[in-house]
Amino acid sequence: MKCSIWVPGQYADEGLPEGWPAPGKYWEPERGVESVARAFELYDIAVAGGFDMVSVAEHHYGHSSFVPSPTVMAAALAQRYPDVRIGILGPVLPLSNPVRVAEEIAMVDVLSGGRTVVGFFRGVASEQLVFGANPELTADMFREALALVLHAWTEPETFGWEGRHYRFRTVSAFPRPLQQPHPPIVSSATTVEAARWIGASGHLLGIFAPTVSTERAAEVGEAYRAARTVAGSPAAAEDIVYRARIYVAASDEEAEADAAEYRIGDMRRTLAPAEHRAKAAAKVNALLYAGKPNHGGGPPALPRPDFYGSPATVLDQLRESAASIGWGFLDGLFTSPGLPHEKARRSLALFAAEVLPQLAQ
Amino acid sequence: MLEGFAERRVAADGFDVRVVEGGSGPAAVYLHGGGGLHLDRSHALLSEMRRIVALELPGFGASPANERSQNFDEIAATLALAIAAAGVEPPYALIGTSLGGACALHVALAHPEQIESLVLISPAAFRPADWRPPPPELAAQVLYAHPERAEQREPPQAAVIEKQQRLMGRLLGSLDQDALRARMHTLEVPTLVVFGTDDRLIPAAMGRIYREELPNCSYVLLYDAGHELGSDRPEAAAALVGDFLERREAFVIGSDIVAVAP
Repeated sequence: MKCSIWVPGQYADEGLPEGWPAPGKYWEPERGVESVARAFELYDIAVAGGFDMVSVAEHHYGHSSFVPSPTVMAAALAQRYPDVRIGILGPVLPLSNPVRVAEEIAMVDVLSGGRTVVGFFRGVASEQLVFGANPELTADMFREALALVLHAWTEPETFGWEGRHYRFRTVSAFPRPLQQPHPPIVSSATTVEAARWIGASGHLLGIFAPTVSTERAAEVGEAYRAARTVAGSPAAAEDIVYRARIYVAASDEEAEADAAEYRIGDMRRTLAPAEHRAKAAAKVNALLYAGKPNHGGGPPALPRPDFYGSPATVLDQLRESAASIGWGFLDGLFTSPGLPHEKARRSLALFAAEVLPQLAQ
Repeated sequence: MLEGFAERRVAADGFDVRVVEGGSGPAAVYLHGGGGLHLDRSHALLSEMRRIVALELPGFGASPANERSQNFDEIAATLALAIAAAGVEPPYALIGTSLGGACALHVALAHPEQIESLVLISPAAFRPADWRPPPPELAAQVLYAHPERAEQREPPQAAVIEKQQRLMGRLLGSLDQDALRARMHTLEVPTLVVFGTDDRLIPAAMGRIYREELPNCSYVLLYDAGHELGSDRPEAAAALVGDFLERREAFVIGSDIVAVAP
């Protein structure tokens, strides 16, 4: 069993109006510095507590998630934490130049002594609005960009790329990753079909708990393991990365009270666009998930963290989830929009002290 | 036959060579692959900027079996004569696909001064050590990433296939790949090598060899296309090849019009 922490970066003022995008007028330089310090404080606790990986993800324009370039943050993490894996989980490919993504990840892999684990994403609704990507094209862009990144890492000769979305006449990524042929790749799935493709490709499987019901996640995990076996490289439990929201308090009652008061796990607090972007985001969502009814098995009826309660309760929940889905690599999110930093810090410390040691056994 | 293209025959080196020609502009000679002379939509698009002169290799299609050409140098000598007989004035652009790519490379090695630019599409000169030609009944699965886009054609008669494969086997079997590599070092002709990322007949990685050995070669991967990349992605193939024919080495300089508004 391995464990990772994902810190999206929360702006150090829980009283900001909700909604996305967060207008620049709310950014106070000193608070910005404090916000980054808070993120590092959480990473520090996790690493000191025995976590195996620190992870970052690309998100833009949000007061509850400001890591516009995951490779910039990953480079900082790589220097601060010399002994853990660096999870770049990950770049939103349709928003970036895939060749630059390949180059930057290769650079971080070199800087970190070959400790990166990489995932790539198509991006949620708000991301599609950031650089004006056409949501009708981003799935196709994602597939092509991933193929280009892999070629950039592995082609020994200078080459050109004539794609549908990308045209480069001179590609020659230099540096290349320390890990050869490239860092481990995590690909996320919400469906059995996607899990089969990921297994056949030899990638690690990523499951984001809020997007997939436990029953669907179990099917996805099973399909992945079967595909890996067919491909001749049976999967270890640690090849399935489960990203989930966790809140630990002294007691179940306290955890429930905090979850209700701070609406921990309510994704709308992070993703819900401000009024003047709401209609656009709804249209984007309609395009992103067109033809995918019940996309991941449906969101939970009551917004709550995926795992929450006393340390003993959370340990039980995690063991049950790991047993039914088959994951062996937990990527935990301990912050939540509006949750006071001190509460998130204490939750993480409790997890590190009282849950992780037993979970790792 | 593509619209606007016409067929004629020329005598060259004792062979009666079929020529299919269309389009306008400076000449681009085309040499086909092992399946025979078939022009696809990429040729139609290219013919808007170039006069396409496609030659049928002696021994292919309805022509008598070719028992004479023993190796690529011999068939290249015949083809150079046929190109001249077809009225193509040097310097001209030379394009070859698969088997025709290996032929075109040998024409360029023999007559570099006549070649303005060389385009090798999924060329067959280099193949993995364990390479075998696919059985004809599997050809469609092997040749295309998008068979649904391929033009439907009557399959050639068994005798035609057998005749063509015998010639192809003899040419490919005679090729000394190490010796060819050594000859390529001095070929200065601007060359473009294109492979589809999904080529299931000859791995795209073979394209690296041309890049390594030719001093003036660009190697481009055409995404989401198989061996018959002109059928799989005709617009992309024609845009790439057309740009190279127009600008040669300078085609690596960005020229997309990216201004949103003046």
